[in-house]
Amino acid sequence: MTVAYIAGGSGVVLLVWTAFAFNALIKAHNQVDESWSGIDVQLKRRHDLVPNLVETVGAYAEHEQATLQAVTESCEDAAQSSGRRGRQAAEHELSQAIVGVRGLSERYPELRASEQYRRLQAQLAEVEGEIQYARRIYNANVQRYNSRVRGFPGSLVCRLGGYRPTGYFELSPVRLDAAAEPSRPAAGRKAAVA
Amino acid sequence: MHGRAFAYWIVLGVVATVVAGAATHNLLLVAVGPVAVAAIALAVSFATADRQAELDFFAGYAATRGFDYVGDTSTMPLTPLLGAGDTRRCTHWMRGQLGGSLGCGLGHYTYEVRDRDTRGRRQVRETRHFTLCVIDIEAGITLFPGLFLCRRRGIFGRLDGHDWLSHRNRHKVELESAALCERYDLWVDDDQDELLLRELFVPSFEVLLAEHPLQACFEYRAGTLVVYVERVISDEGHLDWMREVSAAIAGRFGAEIKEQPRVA
Repeated sequence: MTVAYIAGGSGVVLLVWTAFAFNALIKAHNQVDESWSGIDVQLKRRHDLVPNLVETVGAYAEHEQATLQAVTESCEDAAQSSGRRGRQAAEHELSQAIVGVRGLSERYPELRASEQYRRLQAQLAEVEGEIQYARRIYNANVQRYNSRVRGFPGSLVCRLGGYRPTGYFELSPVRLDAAAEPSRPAAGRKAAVA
Repeated sequence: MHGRAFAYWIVLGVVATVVAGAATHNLLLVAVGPVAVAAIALAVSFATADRQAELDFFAGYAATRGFDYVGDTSTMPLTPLLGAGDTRRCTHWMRGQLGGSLGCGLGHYTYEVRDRDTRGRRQVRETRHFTLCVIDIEAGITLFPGLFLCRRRGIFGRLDGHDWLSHRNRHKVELESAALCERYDLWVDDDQDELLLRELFVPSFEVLLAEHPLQACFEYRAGTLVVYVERVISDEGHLDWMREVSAAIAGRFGAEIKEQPRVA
């Protein structure tokens, strides 16, 4: 009888422990998803700025259609990309294309002096800063989630829900000119390897 | 009482105890009396000096930071914390500008919870000390009806002293940052616009709150922002941090309010 009680009690303890571990894992997974949506919001804000940027730069640099076309296409690709890895690659391309457009301002002083261009640069700098902060939050959440999945007891219960370690989000910030830099320092250029 | 006058009072006290001891033929009073008088005088002088030094520090701090030193005062119970407990008082209160444009009050705040004992006498059950910064941001009164970022209390939070925040008609919101959720609980009024709330907590704001070493909490209600820490801050460095984090939080509210077309 005593053995039955001990076995029953142990079973209940094990069940409760598994439930808590599983709940913690689900919560960590949900936080990763939520923080991804935080990145997504900021990336979409950046996409929204690209048409204005192309239009403004195009007004001053008519002979640079190839560069402007590249940034428009990169923006469309980024908007249509699916999956976090695909999105990361597409957004990286867009960052490079924006750097290319920014380089044009070096060759066109009128563009550089334009009030609208300066305002756009400031907005872009603000969005870039927020993207880096959102990325920091996401990567911190991924680190916590991965620790749960790989650590004990998460490694035992993660199979119940098919949870696997997930990758970090890497996106180098677009470097903008000093006048348009945000007041806060942006996060590190490369936080983690996907 | 300063210098010579204080010394005269000690000598007078010592002589008085010796005379009293001699008059009453009490040897103990003659022997211990002067020592007791000297000890009491020393204790009083230390306490006075300590209080004066504290006063000088806060008055000096206020002067160097462009604040006016007010001293002891009281505040309107505009937020749950400012109306908490049965008695409330503000000490070392300073008034000035935050970030050059926002009027604020900064200082220590204490509230006491009282109850009655078996004989019906009121007695203090709990005393809580805070350092807080009160900022008036009236423009957001309709956008943010009630927003409370509190220290996370966990499962046994209710046992950890008096909770001044009522959770009736309020719900808890989980933000994206796990680090922030580990540090704080965010409670909002049920009629809060969720989209606006998400817009307020932009990633940079979440990172600031999750990583700031002061671990400041805040309440926003009735157009009043109260940034607070649950301890007494009495050093320059931490007071500067308090001003900085308060300015950052108020700045975020201000920026979000400015972006709303119906307010701008």
